[in-house]
Amino acid sequence: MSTREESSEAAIALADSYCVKAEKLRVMRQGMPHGDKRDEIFQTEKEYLRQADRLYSLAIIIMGNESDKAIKAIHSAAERIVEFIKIVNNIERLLAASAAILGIGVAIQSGSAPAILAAIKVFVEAIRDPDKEVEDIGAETLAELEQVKRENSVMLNQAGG
Amino acid sequence: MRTEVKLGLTLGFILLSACASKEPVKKFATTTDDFVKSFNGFASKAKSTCQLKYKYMELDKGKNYNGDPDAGEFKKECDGYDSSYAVLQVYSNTVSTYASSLGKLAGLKSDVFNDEIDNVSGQLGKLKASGGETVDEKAVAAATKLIKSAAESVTGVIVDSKIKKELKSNHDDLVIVIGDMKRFANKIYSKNLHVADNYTESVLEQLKKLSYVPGGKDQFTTILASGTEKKKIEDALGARLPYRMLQAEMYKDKLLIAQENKALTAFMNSCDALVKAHKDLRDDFGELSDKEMLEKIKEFYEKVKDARENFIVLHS
Repeated sequence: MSTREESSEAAIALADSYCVKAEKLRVMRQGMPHGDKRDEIFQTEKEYLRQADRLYSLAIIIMGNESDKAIKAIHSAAERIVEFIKIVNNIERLLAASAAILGIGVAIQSGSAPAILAAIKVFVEAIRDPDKEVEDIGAETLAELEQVKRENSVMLNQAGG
Repeated sequence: MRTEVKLGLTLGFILLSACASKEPVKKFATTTDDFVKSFNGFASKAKSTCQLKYKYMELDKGKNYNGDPDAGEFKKECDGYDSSYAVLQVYSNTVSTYASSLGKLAGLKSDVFNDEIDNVSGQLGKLKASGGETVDEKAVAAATKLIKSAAESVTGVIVDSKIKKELKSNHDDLVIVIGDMKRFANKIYSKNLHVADNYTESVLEQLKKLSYVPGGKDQFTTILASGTEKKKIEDALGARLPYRMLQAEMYKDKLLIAQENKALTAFMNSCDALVKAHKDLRDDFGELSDKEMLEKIKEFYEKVKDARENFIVLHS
């Protein structure tokens, strides 16, 4: 059974063979006087080149189909990374917000420091599990931080009157 | 040395040691951008390069010939490349998007923190105005900076881990995609250049033969002389000049093909180099093992706890 990779290779090999045929005619035609015979060879030679070009351009399309899975996988990876960047940005933003509130929280000794440490602890514990996906770690930390943000905001509002 | 300074230094050290250098990943992204531009150049010229051979071939055909480049018969050839160009663009978009997302990931910066520190001062003012407890502004700023370092370190470790994972899981697919780009360059584009060059050779050979001036009686000069004003042989001595000068034109065309071939070879080498760079990143990025990274995180966590306790002592 032929593999998909062999299809584009076969198309290229066939195209190459047409190029060889055209080249033979080109060389033969060079020494011939102009006239019907030369024109006839010229047309055949051109047709061989056309066949080769059709096969080459087709080979590119076949190649794309053969590698469809790899292309999609790389595309998905890029999308996954961009989504991940959004999560990290959110974590950073929330950590920053929590840090700002924590500064005041500690200052008024209202005990909000353990909250942010709890969020970091979630991260530490999550990463301890080697089977855990990085995205899950990010999402869990994010969820925990959102909770910290809510609690701290309430605390700050109460403290600030 | 003040406590927060010492802690700041410690956290800074952890930050450095817990996170792998992302510079090679950023460099990989920018280099790939150049690689993709180079590929796009070849992809967009695939059709016109294919048409080159027909252009030179036409010069050698019988009967009528129209030298208008816009009206050339060769323009009707190689339509198949219109469809395949879309596929070539998919390849370049795929590699470009992947490398750029990796570059963005490696280039993440925690610059939001600076604004947040200013924000603390604003909130402090609010507290004071509302008659809240007396607070030490310097102490608050110190606490915020400590947590800022901690937060940067946490996200830094997450990002490292993600980069490492993506480099590992995408390498084999990237090898296939880059391999296809190289096959297009090596087996198709290169072939078209080679065939076009053969046809320039045919034309050049004919021009060289026509450039020959015989030593004795020259029928060609005689015929051309009949078309000059004074109908003198001396006035037609430049009969072969056009052929000789056109040789230079053909040599220029051949040079362009040779230069394109050279660029193509460089591109094919960069395909190999890109795959190797990705492999090296995959194998070497983040020198810390999972176990070592865990140790660093634990250490970091302990330091954050210390930071808080020290801060409270400092405040009281």
